Amino acid sequence: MRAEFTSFYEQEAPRLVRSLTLVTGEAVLAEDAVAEAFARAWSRWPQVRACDRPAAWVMRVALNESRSRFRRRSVERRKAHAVARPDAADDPDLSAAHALWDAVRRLDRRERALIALRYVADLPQHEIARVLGIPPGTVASGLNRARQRLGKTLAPTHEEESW
Amino acid sequence: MVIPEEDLFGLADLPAGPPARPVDGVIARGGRLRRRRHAVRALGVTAVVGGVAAAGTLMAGGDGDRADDVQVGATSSTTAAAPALLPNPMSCLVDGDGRTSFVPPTAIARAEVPEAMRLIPTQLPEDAPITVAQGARYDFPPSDCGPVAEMVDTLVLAASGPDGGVSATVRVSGPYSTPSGDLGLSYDVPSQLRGRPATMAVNGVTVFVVFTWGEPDGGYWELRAEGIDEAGARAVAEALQLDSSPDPGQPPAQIPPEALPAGFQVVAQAATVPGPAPEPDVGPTWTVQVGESAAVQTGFMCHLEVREAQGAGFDGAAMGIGDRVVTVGGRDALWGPVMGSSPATHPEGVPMNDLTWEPAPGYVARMDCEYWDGPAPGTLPLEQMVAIAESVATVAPDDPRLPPE
Repeated sequence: MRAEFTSFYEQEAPRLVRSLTLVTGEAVLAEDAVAEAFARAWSRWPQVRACDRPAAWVMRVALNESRSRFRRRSVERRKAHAVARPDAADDPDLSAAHALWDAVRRLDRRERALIALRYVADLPQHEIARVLGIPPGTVASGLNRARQRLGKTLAPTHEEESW
Repeated sequence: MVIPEEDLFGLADLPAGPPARPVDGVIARGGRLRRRRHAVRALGVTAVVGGVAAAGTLMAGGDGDRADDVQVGATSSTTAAAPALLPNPMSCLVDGDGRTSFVPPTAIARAEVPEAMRLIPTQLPEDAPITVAQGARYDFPPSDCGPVAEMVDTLVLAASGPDGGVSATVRVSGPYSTPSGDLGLSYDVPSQLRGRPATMAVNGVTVFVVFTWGEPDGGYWELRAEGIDEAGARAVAEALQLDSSPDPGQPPAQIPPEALPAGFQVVAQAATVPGPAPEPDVGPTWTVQVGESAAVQTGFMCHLEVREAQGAGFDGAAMGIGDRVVTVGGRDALWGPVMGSSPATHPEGVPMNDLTWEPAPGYVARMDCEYWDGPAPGTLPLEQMVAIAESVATVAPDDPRLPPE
């Protein structure tokens, strides 16, 4: 059972840390929250492993944990500009992704969460709806809205793109 | 003009930030959590069987007692040994509303939502359709920690900016029987405060300062400050007058007027020490969305959420940076930044705000309405938002203005 959990952790933890970093704006906070969420997963592993998507369970706990760390409105009111971007600025192959990360970090928290869960955590839309506790239609429209806003922000890079 | 999905999936290719923790530490932490959960359950059995007074007080949260009904501090000794305080809620998995809400909500039929909550705005600047009208119910698993203290900001100081909104806050929480959390933030650093060891966390980017420390009488405290620097937060902490077992009528946390930082005032002060946390709210919620369906990507959008009220309404303790107290329907309401928002949130750089008010006794509504484009992008002006809020009216589950259920 431990080997199974270890494999699950090694496969999913980096992706979830990256996702939560995008949501919360702080890599250290994200790492703390994800580690705590995985610890809670291990404390009840027989139940968690039976979930349809254990990673979604962990992400939900990590999101809550990140909020509890700074509690109440304080954590919600962090400024979007505080969202850290991964290092490796010298890699030219990643310059577009860096620009995109910078654009995502200027979205509001809800849209950042949608983008992070869909495209970094790679959760399907119905799972995102469950994790965030919002209607599936809201996930779809929110993602579309966020993509549109990112398109505007990054124009003219993507000006030829369309629905 | 949208960003292609394949580009967005490229975000996952960026190098991760800090490496994930070694799995051994995570497993060790998980094991401790499991043992603690078992210990909490065992403690509950002991308290019931033995009828121990102190333990009975500790377990009172399971009966839904409120903090102001339980004089926890009054039963404790004033010696340094162990005041009868409750564990710190920060050491447990609770989110911003004091819930352990990682279980997804369950959709419920509109007819199951109380009529008083089943609201829609009736006076909007646009003839946009209602695209979502959904009831849901949250169920919460038992806390890993057993009964804990209610989340109470024992003392709240706030300063106002030129626009009348809150520009800085200092929140003092406690006294608790345990420190704030057993993991802490990665950038916690040891410090000294009030002549005793303390833990400090300073986020220089968001100007957020946290101190946690223990007092000689056995109570643990936490101070969180936003909008002022470490020196300012430390000065407030040093000046606090704290008592884990205050006499009746005396608040556990006070600050002498002369020690208030310039521009600050006391906006909330708890009369007693925190009692057992109430049971998590399992009541229904109601969500309405106007416009912005999957097929409508621009123009006007309005999002309304209604839930049952928990605890006090809009006292000073609820205020955060940027908030203003306004009036909706003759009652106090809050107008301030959308959670997690910043002036850069809207594509046009317009600040995004939302309005929180009491549409009926016992209920709280939150609403944001905005244009995504057009001549005036961003949140509607406050006056318009208040008018919309005052226009909300109940609807039948099968009202033709609602989308099919």
